Order: sequence, then structure tokens, then C-alpha cells
Amino acid sequence: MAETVVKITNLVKRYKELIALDNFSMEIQKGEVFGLLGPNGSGKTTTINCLLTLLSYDNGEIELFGEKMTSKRSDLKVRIGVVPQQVAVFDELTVYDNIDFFCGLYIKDKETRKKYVEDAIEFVGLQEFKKFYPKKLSGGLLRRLNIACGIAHKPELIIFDEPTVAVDPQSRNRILEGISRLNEQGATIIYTTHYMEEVEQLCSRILIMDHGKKIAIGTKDELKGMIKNTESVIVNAHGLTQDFIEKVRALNHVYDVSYRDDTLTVKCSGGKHNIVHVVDCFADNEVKYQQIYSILPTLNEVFLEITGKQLRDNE
Amino acid sequence: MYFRVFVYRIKKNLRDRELILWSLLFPIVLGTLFYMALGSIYKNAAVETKSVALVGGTEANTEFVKTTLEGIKSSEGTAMFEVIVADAADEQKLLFKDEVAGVMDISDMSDIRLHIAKDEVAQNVLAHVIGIFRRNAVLMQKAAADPASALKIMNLMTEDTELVKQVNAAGENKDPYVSFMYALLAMVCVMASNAGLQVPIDSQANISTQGARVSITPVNHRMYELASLLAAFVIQVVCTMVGLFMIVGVYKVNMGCSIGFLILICILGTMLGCSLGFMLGHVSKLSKSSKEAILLLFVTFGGFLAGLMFDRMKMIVEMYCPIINRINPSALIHDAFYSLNIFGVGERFYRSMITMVVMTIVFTTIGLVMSRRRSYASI
Amino acid sequence: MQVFKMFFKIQKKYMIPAIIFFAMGILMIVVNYEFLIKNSTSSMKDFQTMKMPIHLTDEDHSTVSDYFVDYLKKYHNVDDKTYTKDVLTDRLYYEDISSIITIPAGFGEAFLSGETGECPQIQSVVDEGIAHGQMLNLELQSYLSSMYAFYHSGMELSEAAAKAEETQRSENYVTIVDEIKEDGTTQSHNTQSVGGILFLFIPYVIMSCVFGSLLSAVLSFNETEKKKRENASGYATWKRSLILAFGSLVFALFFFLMYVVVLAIFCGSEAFTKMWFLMVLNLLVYTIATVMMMAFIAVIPLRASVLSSIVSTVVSLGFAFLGGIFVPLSQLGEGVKAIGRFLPTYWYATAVDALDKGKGFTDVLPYYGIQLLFGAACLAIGMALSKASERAH
Repeated sequence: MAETVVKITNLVKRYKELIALDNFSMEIQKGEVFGLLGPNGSGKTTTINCLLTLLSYDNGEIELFGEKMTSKRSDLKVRIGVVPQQVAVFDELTVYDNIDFFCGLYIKDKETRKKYVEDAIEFVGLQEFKKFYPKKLSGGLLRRLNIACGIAHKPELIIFDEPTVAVDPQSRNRILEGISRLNEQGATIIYTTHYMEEVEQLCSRILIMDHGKKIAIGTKDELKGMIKNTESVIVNAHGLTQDFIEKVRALNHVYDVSYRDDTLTVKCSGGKHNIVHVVDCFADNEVKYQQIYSILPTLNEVFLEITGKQLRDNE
Repeated sequence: MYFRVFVYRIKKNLRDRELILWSLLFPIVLGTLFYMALGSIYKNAAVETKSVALVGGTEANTEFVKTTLEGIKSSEGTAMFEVIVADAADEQKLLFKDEVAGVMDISDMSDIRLHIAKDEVAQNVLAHVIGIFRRNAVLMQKAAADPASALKIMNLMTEDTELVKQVNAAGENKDPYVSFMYALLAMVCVMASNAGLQVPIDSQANISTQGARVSITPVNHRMYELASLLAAFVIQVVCTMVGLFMIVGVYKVNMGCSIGFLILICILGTMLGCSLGFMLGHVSKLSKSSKEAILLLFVTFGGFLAGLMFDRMKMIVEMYCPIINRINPSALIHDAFYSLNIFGVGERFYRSMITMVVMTIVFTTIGLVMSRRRSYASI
Repeated sequence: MQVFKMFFKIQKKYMIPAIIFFAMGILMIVVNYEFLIKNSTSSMKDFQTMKMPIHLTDEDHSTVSDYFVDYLKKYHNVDDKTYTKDVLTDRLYYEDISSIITIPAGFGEAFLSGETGECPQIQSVVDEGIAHGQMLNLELQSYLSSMYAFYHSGMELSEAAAKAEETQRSENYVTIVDEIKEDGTTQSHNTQSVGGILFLFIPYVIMSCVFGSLLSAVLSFNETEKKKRENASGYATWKRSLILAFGSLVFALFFFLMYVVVLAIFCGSEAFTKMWFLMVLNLLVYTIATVMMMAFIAVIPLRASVLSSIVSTVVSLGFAFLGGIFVPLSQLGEGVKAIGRFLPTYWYATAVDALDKGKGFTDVLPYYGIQLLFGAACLAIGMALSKASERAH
């Protein structure tokens, strides 16, 4: 059985009246890329800050690498790397100096540190910008520097708190590839975001949270399996009659049909090849259509169905 | 590890060009302005020749008084008075248009009268000279009435028996305006508190993102802050020294004590300033702008109470609320300079220096106690 | 209106420095009133009637020393209690006393015998850096040496003492003359009006309020990012600048009015006279010039509020010292005055001085004009610079 890296049990965090974390629990195993998904204000960053002991909490327990985490546990802190949501570097130090400075707070040996810093620079692809000051870097490069500062000391557990906010597509891809590579090299990753595409692409397990509570947890397929909708068939067709629509509704697995602006949306539960039955229905009734395609459910739909709201509601 | 933190903090502070530039410009510009405005007042007051108008005298008397007055020299050797002979009817014009120091009516040599428009140093000297004329007039009458003692009396007229011995309590530099320079240097030292304030800002998770990043590292937080504070202090002490060099080296202001002591006071003063900001930075209940405002209170208001704007202010505080002078950093630093000039190395000087050291230790300790690694209720 | 409201919202955040400076201004008024005006007005009217605080120790107790002590007690404030040397030095240091006088034993005897060269003289410890003590010594030396000369010329000691007092007390032969104006009124040049003292340093606090608080708000407003956003919104730059300037003026005038109220209270019977109103007008002109000056300073790209506090300290203190705010213009050297002439503080102080000497509106009008001219020049340079930097962007 894999080693448990993070174990949070019944965590409660209150800001006066507001309950930011409501008996929140989770466990993360070694080698996972664990996605923490939720809209803004759902409690993701609060969870991370409690985990890092930056925030005090009202109740619950946090264990890292099987030991209780407190603000004094330097031995545990050495094993963690954090890439915070906001870029946290010194504007007055160069790219190299920033990485060397933060790495130096973990690694005492000069030679090792030097190598680690070079590795980190290469890892995020900032070789050409070593002597640049942060103000001269673009938004994407700045994010990469932010990452390098968090991972240079080669931690076992790396926490990425929305690292791709306001980043250009090229940098975003690079960042996501990098995270995968870190995972391949053995690091356990916690990844918080409200972009489900990234979670789908990266994470081996996903936890969806809202209002400080765990709503669902599992692999992406497991999550998608939790909802009624398994496939939506979209047909562009002109002048469909109510009779015909009713025939479509009567098809097997179909639970909802809507027709608006010459577009027929057929929602199905169970099975993945419902498009064949819809195509057959059109052929049988000699009804013409311009285009027909099928969409599999996204995590957003999972979230929508479970919570009744869009993931990016508050963006 | 902490040496590295120190080196990087130095690097960081040096890169903050704007802050460095202004921290350097502050003492240089104000030192220059203060020197320009105040440097020559004391010297000028001593060497300025004032004119005096003589009215109503006979030719012989006028010549006699003129010779006497024009013979009075200041300690620098310049004549204090220049005599013009005028008409008594022009008194208003002489006093208010030509601005003569005084109009001397010598029509009766036994009762010389002086008319002046304002009461300043020159007028006092004139009054004193007239006092001698009046004394001698009495003696002349006495000698005329008693020819037997005439010779003895005549001797009394010329000899000025020194009956009062003046002992100076003022220090090496008698120029009272040098006090403004002390207040300025004190202000520069206390200004270092802004650099001290930056230390906790950069290391506390609830204030800055960099602080959060530092807080999650395994580094000893107090040692980290001490190394940062030391770096801030080194930079600030250089800025203070530049100010001191401008005042002492370039403008050759006589501060009334040896350069070694001046440097020592500046170092302790800057330490006190840095530690003040350092302590204040740890009061987590206050916002950054409130902290800056409190420092402004210390720098400007403290400077005001120490005599930056009115030199007598410190004395007034001493009379009515001396405790403020014992705890106001600007007043302490000012007092160290002042006591050194007036009394030399002694009890008073040591008291200021020891208070400065004790306050530095107390401020730094309070800051360090408050900076113990902790989790915040909210960040 | 939106910009105007927004500006005041931002300004609210920078109110603490303004309040600190305002309080400092009030304290300056109180201190000046209590210590400079109350204590000194009597001494300015007659020559040498200023009673000086003296500490006296009579170790001699002779007839001569008795005459001397009587003289001192008659004309000065004598404290003859016993203190430690430290306390006495402290009191001298803080000008609480002007001199520490000791009459040594044997002084009277030597005085009468005429052998003063060999016995101890009266010792007077003064701070030579301060004029009071030295003037006192000059006076005491005149009195004693005259008494000595008169006694040895054959007078009785009592007669010698009386004659010395009569001939040497300068109020007996020195008269302070007032200027007689064309309209027959008189004007003293030796007294300063309460307004003449209190109005003098208000520019410093107004400047500190404006630069220490208002400047931070304006700088925050001018941050390039915000500017860009507004430029995109199509809000005309000149309109925005104008509203900003107007907002600043409203804020500065608020402080101006507060000070006018305080000054009206402290000036007492002098308030609401023609001279007082002209001084208020002078202050108003200066306040407007200061707001205009800010347009120039605001162009300097200052990142942090710490920097704006450094800059405001340099500018306000520098202007104050070069312009004769804290050190009277009459004491400043010609070189300094030459530079001071380029600063509005100089013309403000000159106007206060002129009004204090009884000059009228037409006399000080040019001084008002120069202050405004200075402000306008700063405004023009500031606007040109900000235009240039906008183009550069």
C-alpha cells in the first residue's frame, strides 16, 4: 500500500461568522497528482495555508508524511515546496539570485545548492533570463520564476496554488508539462485550480470542494460516473416537428431533449454510443440534418450537477 | 546560511535604487540647506559693522565719541560701528529709512541719550559704551570739585577694574545654530526606521507574499529577521555617514566634538532608528500605512520636539514633560551631540548613549518576541 | 464627479499624516504663544527691563555684596536656593537661568581696599552661545566698576551704589522710538505682533500637510496602470488633471480654514483687524501656490509612500529654512536670501514682516503676486513634464 503523504481530518476554519472549512478531510498518497477543484472562495487556498501552518485552524488534524504538522516542524517543511498563487519574489534580485536565495533557505551546502539552482532554472526554461530582474519578465516568465523558487530544493511534496492564472497558452503548456515531469521524477503534487481542463489533463485523483466542504472525490472517470448525463448528442437540423422530437425522446437512455435555434440537444444516461440510435431515428423518419456530433460530460458538468452552479461562477 | 541572508538582503536593499537615492539625498540636501541657512548667522552677527548717528555735539565732542566708537572692534578684528554725523531733526529718517543702529544725542556729555528703534546686540553694546561716558562724566565733575584727588580719579576713569569674571559653560562650539545640525542628524538616524520596518514586511506571511514564502521554509525565523535587520542597518548607517561627512567634511561645521564620537553617536542613533521600525513592523494589528504614519510621527514630530524647527523646543519639553526627552529617539540622539559639545564626555553623554543602547535592545527584543513563528488567524 | 469622489476616497486613506502635521501645527502655535509671545512682549517695550533669571550664591555677606544683591534683586529674578552643581548646569543648559553668580568671600573687603587684583572676582557662569548671559555680565560689570570708581573717587559707599545705579541703568538714557507714519499713527519696530509671530510658520505645516498626505493620494492616483485604464475610458486627461487639482485645492483649503480659526482665537484682539485679514490673505495665496507646486512634485515617479514622506520632508524643511520661516529673514546671510528669493516661503515671510511693520495692501500685493507666479511656474513645468512623459509612454 502506498505511503500517505497528506492526511487532513475534520479540519474546521472559521473567519468570524464565515466557515471557510467545514469538517474537511482528505488523504493524498505518495506519487499522486492530486487536483483540488472548486470555485473561487471554496476553501482551496485556506486548506493549503492550513496545511503549511500559515493559518491557524479551529479544529481538526493535519499529518504530513505520517507525522503531525506544526509550525515548528522544520524537518517536515524541508520536504515541502510551494508555488503560491501570487508571484512571491523580490523585485530587487535577479532571476538567479531569487532562486538561489529561496533555495538557500533550505539547502546549506553550497555546491549542492548551486547545482539545484541550475537544475531549477533549466527545468522552467529561464536559462536566457538568469540575469534579468523580475520587472523585466513577461507574465508567463514571471510565473515560471515563481515555480522555480518553489521547487529548487527538490521537495517530495509540491503544492501548486493556481499556477496558471493569467498565463499565456505557451507558458501554460510548459508549466503543465513541467508538473507532469516533476511527478514522474517522484514528487507528490497537490494542484489547486478552477480550470477543469488542466485537472483533467494532469490529475490522477480529483477532489471537488465548495463552501469548505468536500463534495466529491475520485478519478475523473469516477467523478463523471457519478452523474446522470453520460453523453449529449447535438444535431443541427431545420424545422423539426414536435412529433419527431417526441420520437427522439422515446429512444432508449434518453432523459432530456431540447430544441432551440435549429439545434437539437439530446441528453442520455448510460452507454456511450447513443449517437447511433439518434442517427437511426433521423434516417427512419427521413428527416434531414446538417451536422450531428456527440459530447462526453466534462468536470464542469459534474460540478454543475452536484452543486447547481458553474465552476467559474465567481470569476 | 544567515550570512547568505545578510548578503542577499544587502544586495536587495542596494538594488532598491529609489530608496537608496532618496536616503542619501535626504541628509545631503537638508545638510546643505541647513548649512546655507544657518552656517553663517553666528559668524555674520559678530562681524557686521553697524552705523550710528551722532547728533547735537560740539565738534570736539563729536570727534571724541566718533574715535571712541570706531575704535571698538569685534573679536574678529572688524570695527563694530561706523559713525555718521547727522541732524537731530532727521531722527525718524535715520532710524526707519537708513536703519542706523541708534541715534546718539551728545549735546550734553554728562547726559548722553540714545534713541533706538529696536533692541538688539549692537544697541546693547552702544548702551554699554554710553554707560562708560556717563560714569566718566560723574568722575570728571568729582575731579573738578576735588583737584587734590584729580590724578587718582583720572586713573579710575581709564582703568576698567574687572570685577566680574565670566566663566563659559558653553561647549567647544558656541554657535547655538549648530543645534539644528544635531537635530538634522538625529532625524536622519530616526529616518532609518523605515528600513527597519521593511524587515518584518518582507518576512511575515500576513503582510507580504514574500513573507509567506519565507515563513514556510525551515529557516529560523528570528535569525532570518536579525540577519535582515543587520543588513538594513548597514545600508542606513552608510547613508547617515554620508550626511555626517557632508556636514563635517564638506561644510566643515564644527560639531563641538571629535569625529570618533560623532561616528559613534550616528551608529547608535541609526541602530535605534532601525530597531524602532523593526518593532513597529511586528505589531500585526496595524496596517502598513498606519505603521508608516506612526514612523512619520516619530521622525517629524519627534524631530520637532527635539528642536528641529524651534531650537528651544527641547528645553520647553524638558521643563514641562522631561520624560518625553528621555524616550524620544530624536531628543536622545540630539542630547548625545549636545551634551558632548557642552559638557564633554561625562555623565550626561553616557546617560544618552546608554539609553540609546538599552532602547535599541528593548525594541529589537520586543520585535523578535513578536516574530516568533506562528500561524495567523487570517492572511 | 466620478474622479472627484474617487480622489477623496483615496485621500481618506492618507489622512493620518495630515492629522499628525495638523496637530504639530497647533502645537507650534501653542508653544510660540506660551513661550515666545507671553514671555517677551513686556521686555520689548522698554529697553533693558527684561528681568533675567539668575542663580545667586553670596559667600561674602559684606556691605558691598549686600548692595550688589539688592541691585540684582531689584532688576532681576534671583533664585538663591541651594542646588547641586548638576541641577544648576542643567538649568543653565536649558536656559532656565541666564547665569550662575557666586560672590566669593573676601570680595567686599578687597573692593573697599582697592586691591581687587589679588582677591577672587565675582564669578558668573554663562553659556557664551546665548546672548542673554553675556549681556547680563556686561551690565553687572558696568554697575560694579562704576560703583568701584565712584567709591574710590571719594563718595560714600551708599552714594556710590546709588550713583552707579542711576548712571548705568540704561533705561535712564536709552529710549525706544516708534515710527511716526504719514497719517500720524505710530508703529513700533521693536515689538512683533502676535500675528507676525504665529502666521510665520504656518506655511511649513500647510506644506507638510499637502506634501505628506495629499501627494501620496495624487501619486496613488497617477499610478501608470490606473492612468492607462482611464486613458482607455476616453476621459480627457486635462479634465481629469483639472478635477484632481480642484480636489487637492479643496483639501488644502480645508486645512487653511482650520488654521485661520485657530489663529483667530490665539491672535485675540489682533484678530479681524485689517492687518490680520491681509495676513490671512497671504496664507491663502501661499496655500494656493503650494497646491500648484504639488503638480510639479507629483511628476517625480515615487513608488512608495515612504519616499513621498522623505521628499515632502526635504522640500518643506528646505523651503522653511531658506525662506525665513524658522530663522528670521533678518538673520539670514545675503547669499541665502539670494536663493530664498526664488522660493515662495521667502515672499510669504517678507509679506508677514511688512504687514507686521504696518505696511498696507498695495505694499504687499507684489509679494502675493510672486508667490502665485512661483506656483504657476511649477504648475506649467509639471504639466509640460507629465505631457512629455505621457508621450514617451
